[in-house]
Amino acid sequence: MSFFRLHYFLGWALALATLGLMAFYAPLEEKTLGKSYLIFFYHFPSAISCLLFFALAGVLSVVHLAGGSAEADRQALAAVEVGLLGCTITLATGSLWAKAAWGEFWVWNDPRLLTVAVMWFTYLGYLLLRGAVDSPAQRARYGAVFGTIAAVNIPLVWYSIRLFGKVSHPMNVELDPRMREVQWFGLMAFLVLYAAFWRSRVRVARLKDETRRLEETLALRGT
Amino acid sequence: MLQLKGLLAVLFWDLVVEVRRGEAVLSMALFAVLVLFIASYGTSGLPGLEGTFGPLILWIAVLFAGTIGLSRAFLVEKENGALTGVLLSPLDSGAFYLAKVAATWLYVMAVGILLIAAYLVLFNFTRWDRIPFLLLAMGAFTLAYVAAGTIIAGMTSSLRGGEVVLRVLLFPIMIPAVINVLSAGESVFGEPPLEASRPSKALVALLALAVVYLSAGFVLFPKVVEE
Repeated sequence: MSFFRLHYFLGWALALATLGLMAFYAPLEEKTLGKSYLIFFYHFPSAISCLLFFALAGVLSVVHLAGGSAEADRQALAAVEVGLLGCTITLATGSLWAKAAWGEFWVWNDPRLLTVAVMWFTYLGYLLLRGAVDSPAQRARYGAVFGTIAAVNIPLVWYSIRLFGKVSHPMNVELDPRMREVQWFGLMAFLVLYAAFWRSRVRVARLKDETRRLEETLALRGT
Repeated sequence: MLQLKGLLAVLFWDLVVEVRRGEAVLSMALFAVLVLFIASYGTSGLPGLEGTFGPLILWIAVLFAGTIGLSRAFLVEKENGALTGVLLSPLDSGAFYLAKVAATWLYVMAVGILLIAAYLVLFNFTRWDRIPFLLLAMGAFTLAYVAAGTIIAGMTSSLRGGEVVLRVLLFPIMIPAVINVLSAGESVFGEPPLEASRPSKALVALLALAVVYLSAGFVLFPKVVEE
């Protein structure tokens, strides 16, 4: 088994193990939120992972702008794709949890909810921008410029509660020690799984670039 | 000094073209006043309009009309490959960006002032002591908007469907500024009285956003126009 496949296998195994720990190790009910709190074990790792991958995309965008590295551009694109996956899961699980906890799928008075939604739209725009540019070099450059600007969102999301005031999202949650253990295990599991997705997307982007180069070479030869 | 001269030359040239053609400001102003007019008709008779929908409609009109000015910001340079000429000149790309921001900000601000006047009439807004603060909020908001918008317009002006892409990219980025201008507006349109010159926390946040976008634009713009 190649290291790449092993990485994938490990990621899925750890994600399933999180599900097992949720079912058999963590307490099934929380004193205020009841059973609905269990969604937290998927919501929290996805939220942290999406922030980390968007931050990675920001760093790689700067690396591309500084040195013009095509690999950094591919890695930044893959990081945005994986970050968007995490962000979508965060918004979906958050909405379901909000319905159970606050009685509504969506509330407008929560700064974290709003900033995460803004981040989601911003990075969807990143993909749209790349799709609208024909020249590969220009696409990479524009993607890197927008990826750098979009990274301004990350501290806004992280500090949103401190900046705009606590409304619905809690600052620090008092958790049972077993809940804490599953929470950190879940985060580690999701990071390993998302890293596998990221590597896979980088590989796909590399193959696409290689295919395009070959097509261009063939077109030049007139075959 | 050379860069400052170049910046002023580009700004002057943009203003001359706009005065002669009058395209950007006229179309923006007409569009914005129409938005305000239709919204004012649609919401007439609603209770507490002045403190609720009114300000929201005002900022939406600025936001939507501003994209017309931004999408035209590089129109002159795109015609006949004039941008290449500008890039070959000794003028730094960052200075060129600042000149474009200054010109577009002047257009958008002119439309903003006109909109405030239209707002006074259409929404029967008579709190004269709060107008200077409203103008300050308008100035800071439009500066943040134009600073971010000019970088994105530089990228989208040459793309197919560029105007749509500009809006889709710009509006999410502008949400923190919209939140802050609405919050600054609370002190203008809301019930508690306020000394007109008191800078609010939201106004400072708007200026901070403008500085962040201007700095990012100054650094990143050379990469946007690189050929």
